[in-house]
Amino acid sequence: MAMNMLWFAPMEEMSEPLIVTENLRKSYGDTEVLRGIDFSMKEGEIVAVMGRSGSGKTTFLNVLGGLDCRFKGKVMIDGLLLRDLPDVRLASFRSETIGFVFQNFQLLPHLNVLENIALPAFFTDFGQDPTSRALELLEAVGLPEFADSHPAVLSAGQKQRVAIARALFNGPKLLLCDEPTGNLDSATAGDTVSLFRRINDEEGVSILIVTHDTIAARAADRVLEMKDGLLEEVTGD
Amino acid sequence: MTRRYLAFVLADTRRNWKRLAVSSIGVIIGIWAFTLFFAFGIGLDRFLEGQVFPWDKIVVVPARASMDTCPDDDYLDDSGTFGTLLPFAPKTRKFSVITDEVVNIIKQRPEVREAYPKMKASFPATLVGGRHALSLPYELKTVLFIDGIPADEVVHCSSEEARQDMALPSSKRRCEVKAPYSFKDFGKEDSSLPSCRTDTDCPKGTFCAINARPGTSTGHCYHPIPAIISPYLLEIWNGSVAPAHGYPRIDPSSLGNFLGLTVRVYLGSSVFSTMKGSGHPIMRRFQLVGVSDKALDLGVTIPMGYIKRWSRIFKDSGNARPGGTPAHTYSSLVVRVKDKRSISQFLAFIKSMGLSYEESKAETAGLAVTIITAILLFISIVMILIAAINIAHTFYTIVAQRRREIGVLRAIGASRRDIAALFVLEGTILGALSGLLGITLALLTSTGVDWILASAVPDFPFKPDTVFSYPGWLVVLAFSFSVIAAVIAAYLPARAASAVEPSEALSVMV
Ligand SMILES: Nc1ncnc2c1ncn2[C@@H]1O[C@H](COP(=O)(O)OP(=O)(O)O)[C@@H](O)[C@H]1O
Ligand SMILES: [Mg+2]
Repeated sequence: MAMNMLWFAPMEEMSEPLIVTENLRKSYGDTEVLRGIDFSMKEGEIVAVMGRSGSGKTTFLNVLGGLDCRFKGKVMIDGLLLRDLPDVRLASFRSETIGFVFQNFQLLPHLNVLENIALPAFFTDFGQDPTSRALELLEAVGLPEFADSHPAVLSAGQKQRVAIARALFNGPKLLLCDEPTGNLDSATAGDTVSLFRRINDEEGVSILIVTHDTIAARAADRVLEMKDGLLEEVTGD
Repeated sequence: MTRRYLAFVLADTRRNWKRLAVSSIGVIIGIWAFTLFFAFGIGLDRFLEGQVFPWDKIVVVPARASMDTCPDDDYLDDSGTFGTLLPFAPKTRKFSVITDEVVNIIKQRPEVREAYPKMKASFPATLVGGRHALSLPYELKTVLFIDGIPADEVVHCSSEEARQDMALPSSKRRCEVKAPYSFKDFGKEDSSLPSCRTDTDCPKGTFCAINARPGTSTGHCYHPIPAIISPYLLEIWNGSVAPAHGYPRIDPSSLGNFLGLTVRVYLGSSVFSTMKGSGHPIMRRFQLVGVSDKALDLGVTIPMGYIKRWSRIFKDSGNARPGGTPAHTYSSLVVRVKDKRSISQFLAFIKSMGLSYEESKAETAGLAVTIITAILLFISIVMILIAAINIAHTFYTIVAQRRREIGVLRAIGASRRDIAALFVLEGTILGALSGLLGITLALLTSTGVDWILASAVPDFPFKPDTVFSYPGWLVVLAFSFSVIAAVIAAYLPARAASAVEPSEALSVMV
């Protein structure tokens, strides 16, 4: 119930897909990593992209999140064409629409947990009091007693929860998670997976997880595989 | 740019403060040197121009044929007080000597605030006296340089005016001769005084003049000749002569005790050579009546009438120094200009009149100070630039080490501009703090130097209270300089930081 007040991802008609890519290509030098990906994802879905290490999962996620603009083809997120956007526009897209969860958490060591969660408020005109918003999120991920702690004292699973809370800070429509369980033991990985489910169930946040870990894929409504620079639907899990 | 963003910048600056502090030491030292040198240059310049060599004082002198005549001037009427009217422009009349007409022309120039002629004595003189007034064991005997100025050029004040004048700061004081003394030519009044054999035959305050002419033992009573001396002479006396010989100092408060002091002056008598020819020295009492910068630097100045009459006597008696100025012309014309900027224009006019001017000491000294200051400033600016490179290097290091962190900030919504501004603002904070610190250190240093100057350095002529000057614009300039240097230093690393694609920044291995 509390979470309903926390996350305001609008529950729209799921007519238009949240993510659409057409013939998405991306090369590093002569090596083409993404070779024409056609992908679409509806709002409210949890999708997992599996694939060997080095298959191009991170590259794919970076393109979708507006972290890498040097690609060919069409990418449209929440109705926005990610092409030739001015930097400020792209930055606000990342802050408003997307929440990133990284494999190695990427918390800033000199800030405490609360400040880490409230980090997005430093760069946007955040309306409410960022500290109380961060506290609410910290309670929602079950770590209220660590508000003043620094990331160094947290376990890997706790760090991941803080990172997820930070990703949710601006109420994004889409969580992009890169190997979210890669550094976690299987029990903690399971907890993270159920946290994703809860976020999706209660707030309708769409989640795209790229991983080579089958545990993480268990959270997904749909699983695809990245192979030879292309995405294939995995049937019959 | 939100308040929260600035809070983030501050937090980040605090996080880096140790390495930033180390890298800004150079800027602090540079700004310290810059401010100190600049303040010293301005202070010294003001001191020299204001007190030692007044900037507005120009001494016009006749063109000396041997030195100043160039082929163009050949047609000049050299004998002449009349000058030559040139057929071609410039239509300025040419003069080879300074006459009343020249004085009038120059007085009417728009650049001129005041102008008065001077006439040097064309005969030698020796001063004897001072034993009582200065409590010496013997009488001072020294060669005396004398010149004359029109008596009415000296500012006289009643005792009431003098009291008000003393309340003003020294630069604003105008009174030169205060009641009951007066700087006037007593020539006419003297003729009504009785004849005498000794000073005791004369009315109070007057003396008996017996010229050492063989066979004469009676003379005429006369008022002592009023003489003024320059503040420069006082400074020389107080700074060099008095301490070296153990004579008493004469400062503004004790000056009153010395006013009215009379000394004997032997006109036509030189300490360097015995008299020759038929000339006989004339003894006159000179009385110190005031201090004025119109007076001869090293000597005394008296009303010009005396000089004119005595010159005639010594000329007639063949005792005049060769090369002395003819009696109907002046040896120089002292001009005070209104505005520093009009000086060159005025000097050009003087040249066009065929006259010359004494090399301005203020100009020479000022130029020397300017050159030295410029060199010191150049050095300090180079220091600041090197320091800026150091800051840039520190920021580059920070940026490189935090590549991944910058990627995270970009991912959560920071734009390129936010990232660049982060480092530029840190540079601004750094520059501002360094500037304040450098300027404060400079102020402390100059206070210290002034203190040492006041307490440990012995008196010297014109010893100033401070050799530094901190006009408001200098503080603003030094501060801005510091901020700008630090901002420029931070700008390139900041741009490098913001140029990286977030995906690449994030992929860096720790
Ligand atoms: N910045 C880069 N420059 C060159 N090659 C890269 C870069 N990033 C990734 N690659 C290459 O692209 C391929 C896909 O990488 P990545 O997307 O990280 O795969 P995954 O996340 O699936 O492990 C790999 O072969 C990798 O070496
Ligand atoms: Mg990867």
